[in-house]
Amino acid sequence: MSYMLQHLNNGWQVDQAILCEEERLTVIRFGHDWDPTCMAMDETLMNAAEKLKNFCIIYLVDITEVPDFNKMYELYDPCTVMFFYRNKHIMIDLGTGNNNKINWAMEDTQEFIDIVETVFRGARKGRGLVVSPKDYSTKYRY
Amino acid sequence: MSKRKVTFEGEENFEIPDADPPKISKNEDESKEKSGRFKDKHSLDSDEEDGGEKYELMNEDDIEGQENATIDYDDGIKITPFNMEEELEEGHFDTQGTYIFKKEKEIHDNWLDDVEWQKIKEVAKPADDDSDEDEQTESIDKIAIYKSMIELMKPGENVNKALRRLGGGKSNMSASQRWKKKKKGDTNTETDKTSTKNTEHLNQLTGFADKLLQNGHFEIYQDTYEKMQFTIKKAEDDENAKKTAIPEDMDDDDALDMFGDNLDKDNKDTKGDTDTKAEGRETNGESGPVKENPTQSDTNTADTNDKPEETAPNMVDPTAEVTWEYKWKEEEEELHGPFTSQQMLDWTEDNYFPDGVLCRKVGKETRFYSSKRIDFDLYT
Repeated sequence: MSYMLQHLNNGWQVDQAILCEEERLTVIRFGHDWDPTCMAMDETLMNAAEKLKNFCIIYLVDITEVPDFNKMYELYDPCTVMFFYRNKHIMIDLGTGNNNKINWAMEDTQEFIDIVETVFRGARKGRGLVVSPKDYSTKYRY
Repeated sequence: MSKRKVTFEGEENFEIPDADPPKISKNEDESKEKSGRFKDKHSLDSDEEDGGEKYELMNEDDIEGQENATIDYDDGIKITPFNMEEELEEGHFDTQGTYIFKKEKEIHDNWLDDVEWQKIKEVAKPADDDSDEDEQTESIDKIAIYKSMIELMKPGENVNKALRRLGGGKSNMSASQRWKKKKKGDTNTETDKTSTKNTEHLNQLTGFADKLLQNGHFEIYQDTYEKMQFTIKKAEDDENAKKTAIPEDMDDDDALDMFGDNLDKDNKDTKGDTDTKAEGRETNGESGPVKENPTQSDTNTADTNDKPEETAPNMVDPTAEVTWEYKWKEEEEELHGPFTSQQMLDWTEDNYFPDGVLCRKVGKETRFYSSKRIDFDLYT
């Protein structure tokens, strides 16, 4: 079943998306649809969305169309994925030194699913910071 | 500074021979008496005593700079001696210097003395057994209730929202609309039908929610459609597993554990949430705005009901019990497991895996992750 990811077109929508979701995790990809990094990430997100839909909702935000959050969330990378649960930003220790977001394109759907599941379980237990199952620091990537 | 200290200590040393001996003996008696009391008396106000045993009492010798009483009155003015004797009669100091009053005089409750604790314990036990028996039937009952509730709700709604939607039917039209209707003088049968249908649904839903609430599921009004669907699916899976016998990849204990966990989870849900709050929202909802057309929403529910079950197999269920298997090294073939998350957590905490092991969830042929980066506490 094909599953399109929903775009959020203004700051209010983004706010509401984060605010209104009470039981599920809100995952937001900030970036541009035309960006190759984002394209790769969106592919992963798309594959994961269906499997995760019980406890996670994924949105896409164009940071040129909606520049409201660029400063607050420091959205300077071509592609940024952030996690929110009940209006709270959930941090993940990815081993990269930036615990706020995933700022590269993840190619592996299962890895992403595992991260989301960890984040969800952590968030539901009241954690503000969870540790991703895999260490993504460069020493392991090359 | 140092000079003062030296003279002070010297002074005290000089004083000891003539002034202190009687004082010390008295003090020892007192402290003996105190400790004796703490050990012997395990009475009802033992919460005070419990604390009393933990800290150490200050030796009166440690209270520096005390002076003996000289004269009681000077020209009719009472002179309070510069020492702690009076205070120590009403209480004592711990080693930190905190003053603690003796409380045994104040706290004395005749009613508490009359309570026969033996009897109370006897009564409490049978009640416990009863609740255990009930839980079995209760959980089955709950699933049935959930199922009927889901039919009345829409995806993404919690019970509160559904009640608001159903209850809001009456105030759906604005004042001007009502005015128009009144002018026309005809009773619009179509809207009437839907509104009566809605109130019927509303009553049903409230009834179900109330039943669960009385069974101790206090958060029912906050439960969402998705959550209920989860529980139903899970319960059905459990049922199937039980019918077909216990699966090979887990032993009896695990299967029982899983069930036990379910009950625990259900109990955990029953935190002190209030039904009054829920009722308050419900009544508020009647005057609130309604976004969807009620008739349309009914058909929606029927459609979407079937969809999640079709795609269920490949979905990730974060509420499911997770068991783990691990291997010591990447190149190794030998797998250990399955183990429960609790076991894995205990082992990692006991430093059984000093360099971490590679582990993965049982059932999914996924990649192995280092146990160092997995917080097993999240899965228990």
